[in-house]
Amino acid sequence: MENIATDYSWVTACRTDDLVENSGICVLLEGRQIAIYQHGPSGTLYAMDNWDPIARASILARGLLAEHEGELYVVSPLYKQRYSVETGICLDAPEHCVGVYPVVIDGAHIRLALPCGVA
Amino acid sequence: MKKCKLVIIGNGMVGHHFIEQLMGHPAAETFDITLFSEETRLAYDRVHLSEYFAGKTAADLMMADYQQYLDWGIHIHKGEKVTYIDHAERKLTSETGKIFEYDKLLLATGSYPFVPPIPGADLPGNYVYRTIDDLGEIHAAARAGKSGVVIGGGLLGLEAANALRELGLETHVVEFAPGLMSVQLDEGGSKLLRDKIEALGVQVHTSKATQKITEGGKSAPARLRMQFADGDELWTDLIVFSAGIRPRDELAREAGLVVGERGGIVIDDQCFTSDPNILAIGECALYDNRIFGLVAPGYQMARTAVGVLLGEAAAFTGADMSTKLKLLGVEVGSIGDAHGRSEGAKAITYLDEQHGVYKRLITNDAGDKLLGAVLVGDTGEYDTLLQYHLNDMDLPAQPEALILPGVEGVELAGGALPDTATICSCHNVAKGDISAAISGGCCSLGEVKESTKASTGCGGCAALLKSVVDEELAALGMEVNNNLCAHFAFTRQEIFHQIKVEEIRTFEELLQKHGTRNAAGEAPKDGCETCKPLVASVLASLWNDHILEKPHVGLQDTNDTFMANMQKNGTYSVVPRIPGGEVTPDKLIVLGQVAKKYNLYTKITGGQRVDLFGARLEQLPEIWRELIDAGFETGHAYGKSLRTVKSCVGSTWCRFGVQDSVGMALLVENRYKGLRSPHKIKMAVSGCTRECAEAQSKDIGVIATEKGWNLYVCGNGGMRPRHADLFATDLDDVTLIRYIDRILMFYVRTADKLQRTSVWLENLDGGLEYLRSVVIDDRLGICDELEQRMSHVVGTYQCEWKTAIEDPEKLKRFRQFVNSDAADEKIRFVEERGQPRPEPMEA
Repeated sequence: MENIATDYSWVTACRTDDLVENSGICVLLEGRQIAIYQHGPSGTLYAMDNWDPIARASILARGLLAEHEGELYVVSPLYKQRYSVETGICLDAPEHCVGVYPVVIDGAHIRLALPCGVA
Repeated sequence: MKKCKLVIIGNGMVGHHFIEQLMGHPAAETFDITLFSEETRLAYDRVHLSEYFAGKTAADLMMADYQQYLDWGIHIHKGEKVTYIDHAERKLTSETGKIFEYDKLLLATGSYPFVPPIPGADLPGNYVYRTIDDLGEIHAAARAGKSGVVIGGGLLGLEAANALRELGLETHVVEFAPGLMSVQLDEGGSKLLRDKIEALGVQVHTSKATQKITEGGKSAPARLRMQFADGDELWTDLIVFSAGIRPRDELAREAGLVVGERGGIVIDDQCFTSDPNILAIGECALYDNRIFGLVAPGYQMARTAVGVLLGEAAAFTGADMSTKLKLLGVEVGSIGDAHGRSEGAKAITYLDEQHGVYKRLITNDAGDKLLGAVLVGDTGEYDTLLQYHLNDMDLPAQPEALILPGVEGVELAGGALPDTATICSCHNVAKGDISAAISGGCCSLGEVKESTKASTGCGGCAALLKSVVDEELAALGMEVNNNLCAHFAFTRQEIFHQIKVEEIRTFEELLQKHGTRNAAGEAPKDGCETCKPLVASVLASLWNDHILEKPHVGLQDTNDTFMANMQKNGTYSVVPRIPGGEVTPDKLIVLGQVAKKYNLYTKITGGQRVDLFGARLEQLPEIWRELIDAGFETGHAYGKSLRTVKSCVGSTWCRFGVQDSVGMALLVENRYKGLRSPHKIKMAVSGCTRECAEAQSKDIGVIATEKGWNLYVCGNGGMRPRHADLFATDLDDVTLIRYIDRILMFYVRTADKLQRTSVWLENLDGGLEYLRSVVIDDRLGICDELEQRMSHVVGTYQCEWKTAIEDPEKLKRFRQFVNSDAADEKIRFVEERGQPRPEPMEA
């Protein structure tokens, strides 16, 4: 996770019962739209920008979560580019990359680390 | 450059083929073309003329396109007869008195039906069987009559008999010779054909010479009386002459060109007549003292003439007159020397009276070459035998194995054929053309068909084509991989079967049971964008759970997840169902009010509904609550499922309508709404043959007839248009619905992923005939089950939106932000023509 700023602060994003298993939801944090996915029965969480830089729309939270050869990615609903949920890199056009964020469950809440200085 | 003035006389199938072939050539522009057609219609399909009685219209049969001809720059003189050719001056005169000059003249004047000189053959009630107008007259006469006679028991005569039978007449065939189809069949084949046709209720009279036809009086049993040489007589209401054809050579004859003793314009192997500026092709031409009365040799002549005019090496050296066809439902095939008249010819005959099958091979004296064959009742081996014959291939050591049932391993594989072997004679595609198409990048049967046109004519070569394509692909080392994706090594059909038989209810369960395991033997942990939506669709087709039930939520594509169609800025469009396109003013007002309240861009769709664009995710439930309160249901515009059933107003309003098409459209739409399928399904119902609902471009098309409904299947509009096939005619309401139930469920069960019905049918082995045998004759014994499945889907229908807005759990998904009520600030609209539209993106 090298593209994540080292200085960050944890904030509460939403409640655990807001999550949808095997799918995504979206939160608005400090003006930034962030998608949070809950994958599979293990419940692993991933957080990624909601903005699709190729389709130029706020839609990645509504993409299909899919796996191929161990790589987990989100398929953008409009033009079907695949974005890795681990790295944020677009697998079909690696020059595009979206931000990814550490995310954890904290009791009944979901907490997420935002880089400092994000306005 | 001065253009060559080319005049063409005649626009039948062969004349049309000539024009098509010429226009496909870049040098076509060096010609200035004038066309004379005696008929007021341009070229139409005479081979399938009898389908006119099975519901096809004149428009369906058309081959030439007037606009296309104009675009090609052809000067068209329709319904204008040429009356004189002055070949010394290279001028001709038409019936209007106008004179036209030419550099080259092409005669494609065809033939006329031969009417024997029988006294009374010109009385009212006597018809010939050649043009659409002839058929129109026969059709009209049949309404007033009870019985009809065809004079002539040849190929065309039996076609005509079929037409009379379809018109509901008691049908007789009167033949001068001792047997039916005596040109193509030997005695044994002819006899079996007769038995089969008589079993259908057609009465056959052979060795009958008609001497006189007279009119019956008022109290006579029918309109006309036929008297035969042997003293018998037959009463009938109409007579159709189909006693052979005669070449239309009168213009050539008067011009002084050389014609044959028994008619026909003599041509050489370049299709030149005795005047080097005049060519003749098709049924008016006499080559090697023969008239070629089939369309394929006519096409060969047309291609030769085009080549000759363009200065290419081309020659017509005669044609094979082998034929395979279905007459009155009986399969008949004739190859080469069917009568075994060649010197030293030996026959091998197989006759099964129990099942009504006759097969006969004619070999040379040594028994290693096939000279001819006759097949009646089953033409399964026709393609194989024809290849042996045409390519002069050595027969197997025991040639009888080729026609004996139950003998394995003699099927001729494509690999054995030389590159020059013709696979598809309709479009003149040789095996070498298919190899070339595959080397050129075609990777599937469908692509080869599209690229070469092979097997898109009569379809008789379908099995052989498939074998050639498979072998060529294998030879190139291409593996035909039908695996769905990395997670499932199965086709959609196999997955459907697994889910059904094992009653699998969730994606997780299917993945555990049938997912592709890794080296450690573990099932995959998750699926991908290919298998997840596909499995969701199959689960819905079979069990019909709500698509937002917990186990299915993560499987859906975004449009299914949010039950709306995402547009380019991330907002959605909303399409309520308007069955049959019928909507009350009150409901229309509600649509307007909702659109206004939420500032939605409003557009009428092609499927007779209203589409409301620009709804934000979080607005969808509110919008739907208002629509549902007004009585609307979801339109499934987002799903791979039934979209619309378009209709015209039909008999309730239209002066032409013969059935209540809106009523039927409502019935059909309300029955199949919510059915999840491999791809979207569109339907239409037209109230009469004028077809205002455009049913023939739909997956399921229904067209009213005076007796009921004609059912069309597997049409398509859009990117790859396909004219629907006529599946069954004059159905009552109950049978219509039963057939649609079966067809749709069979499609849902067997189609590949994202395969529309049009492509599905094209890839179905056996095509339309096979589909008919499954749906009408219940060949697979599955019709009951197909109906039960459909009945389950119909019985468990729910409006997905109604269920969703009543369930707080499901509604949780319709939030832009789970932690805020703010709207997505990135969504902005501008106004255009008084409505909102997405703000254009900066470059």
